[in-house]
Amino acid sequence: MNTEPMQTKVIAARSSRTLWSAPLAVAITFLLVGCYTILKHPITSEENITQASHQEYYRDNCLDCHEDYATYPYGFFYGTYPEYYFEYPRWGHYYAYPWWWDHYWYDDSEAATGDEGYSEEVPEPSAKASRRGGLIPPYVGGAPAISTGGGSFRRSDPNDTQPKGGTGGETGTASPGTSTEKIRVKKADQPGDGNQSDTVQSDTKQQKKASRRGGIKP
Amino acid sequence: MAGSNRELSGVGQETIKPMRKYHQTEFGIVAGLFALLVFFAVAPISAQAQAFEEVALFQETINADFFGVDARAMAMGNTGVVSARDGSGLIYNPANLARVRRIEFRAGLSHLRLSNSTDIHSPSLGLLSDERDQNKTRINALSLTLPVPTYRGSLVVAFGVHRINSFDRAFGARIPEPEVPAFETSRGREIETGGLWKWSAGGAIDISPRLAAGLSLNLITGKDSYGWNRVYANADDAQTITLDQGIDNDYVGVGATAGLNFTISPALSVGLSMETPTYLSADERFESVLDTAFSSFEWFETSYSEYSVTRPLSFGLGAAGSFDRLMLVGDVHYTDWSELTFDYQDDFLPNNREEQFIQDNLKEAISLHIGAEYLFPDEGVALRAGYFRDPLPIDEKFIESERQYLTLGAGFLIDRVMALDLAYVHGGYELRDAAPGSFFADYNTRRIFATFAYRI
Repeated sequence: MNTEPMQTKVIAARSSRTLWSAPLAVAITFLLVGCYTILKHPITSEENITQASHQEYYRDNCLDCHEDYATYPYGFFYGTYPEYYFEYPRWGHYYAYPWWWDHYWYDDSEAATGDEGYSEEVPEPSAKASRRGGLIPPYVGGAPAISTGGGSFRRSDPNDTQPKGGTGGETGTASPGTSTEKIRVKKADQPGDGNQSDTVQSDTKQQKKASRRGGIKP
Repeated sequence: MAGSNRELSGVGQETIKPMRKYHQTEFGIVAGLFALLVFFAVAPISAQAQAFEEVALFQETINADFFGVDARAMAMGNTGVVSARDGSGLIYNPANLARVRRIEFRAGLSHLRLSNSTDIHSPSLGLLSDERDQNKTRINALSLTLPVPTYRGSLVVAFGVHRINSFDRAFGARIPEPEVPAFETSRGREIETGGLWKWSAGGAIDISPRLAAGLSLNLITGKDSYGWNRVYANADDAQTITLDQGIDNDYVGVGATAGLNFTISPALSVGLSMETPTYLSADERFESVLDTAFSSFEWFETSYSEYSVTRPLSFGLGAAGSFDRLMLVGDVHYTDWSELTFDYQDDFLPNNREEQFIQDNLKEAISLHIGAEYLFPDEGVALRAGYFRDPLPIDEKFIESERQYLTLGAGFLIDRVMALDLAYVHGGYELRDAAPGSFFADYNTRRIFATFAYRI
């Protein structure tokens, strides 16, 4: 009995399984390692444990530690954001503005950024028309994080993720000094006092609210 | 000729099914009185099928081309390995899904206008020409893309169904019948509808600031309905013989696509995609009816066949350059069709002939795609153009002109939540028989795509 065809089929089946398993293994490895993408903010030991155990705390206080966060108007993401994303924010809103930065009807209306989370496309003759603030991330509190430098908005060094002052790069940032100043005020209010924490939240809301009216300029 | 019912142009299907063999379940010959007539009716069919058999077989591979599932991608020369930035990433390159930042619902329509003209040069009758066309409008894309909130990087999952292959086709020919004294010519008409759908579940994740990886798992389903009508009539239509054949297929298959997207710089990105071998199982039914105008009898035959095919690995490589409002993009796809496998799901049916055909006639194919997009951001409009050359994976001796297309399109960003993309694709190819000069079948296609996306 000739067994060659049978052997050929078995080998072919094994090859097929190998080809299938290779990309799956790579994908699963990526998912398990999760080396870059972060879904949950790590608990930082130096902060109030009660506050720090809530992810909302980090969402509302990004700039406490990540002073250069304001340099990422579309999130901590190395993307190729063309200039028109900022000149005409609806493009940036459609392609780059994370949906979870929006606040919807079920959110606190005071904090809602929803439709106002970015600058409307209203011409401002007195300002540089090409820079109308773009999409202002909720954590920046109204700071138009973009300078008038040309080119796409990006990190100066995508591998450097250490917190630092928000300076330079090719595209400029919000005023780093102002950003740092805001953080210091918050930190002074926080330690161990729930009421003070409420004050912090209130301040944050006011900043956001103000940003909808044109922003608190640093 | 049993199993060789696709006489001239064959049937477009996802892959090759040459010289199909059937389990004969029912075969009725009503009377032997017309045995001679049957001989005259069938013999020329077989003879003609012999003449153009190769072309018929190739057709099934030819229609394996990717039809297109996204208007933006099609407008830019059917590129998408690196430039797809919506739910179409499930098909072009799952890694691109990582670039979606908002919840997206997407739907697409396609319209096909296919025209065929066939010329057969007969030594005795001269040029015999015929034309056929077919129009079809279909839904061809639905997808839902869900980005997961992240603090850093990106994680996106997506689900979708896309019509990846179209079997819609038409063919007509006037065929010389030198072996049948009663009839100078016969007229053959072919009509085929159907397609393959890819049901996908996939996701992508940023694995470094600049590198995203993605994977989609695909379930493939589809149907193909093919009809072949051939009429023999003499000058006064007194002696008419009609042959009607039909083949219906149901397909089920599985496959997967993996990909990478690497942002080299803000201005330059590259992408890589790999589609695993795709396994397809087919359940095929065949019917044939031979009728005459001059008798009260007809002959019919039905049979069925089950088989599987495995499409080979396919690779895609793409690059995109962004220069402010201008984007230039190019893709290359590689598939070695000689690695296609065919297997009857019946140990008593050997695959020798199919395997021989694959080895002898199918070859590797490299398709080239280029496209450009220019935006007018103030108006919310993008204009696009492209070109792609998608060579037929068959021996050059059967190709009169290669398959290639020009593409145009426009995109509209409506408010800040909705995108509407339109594309027009025009092109085609021409086949001939192995002996140049006697048979030419030209297929001209015009496709219109409209894709709508809403981002919450």
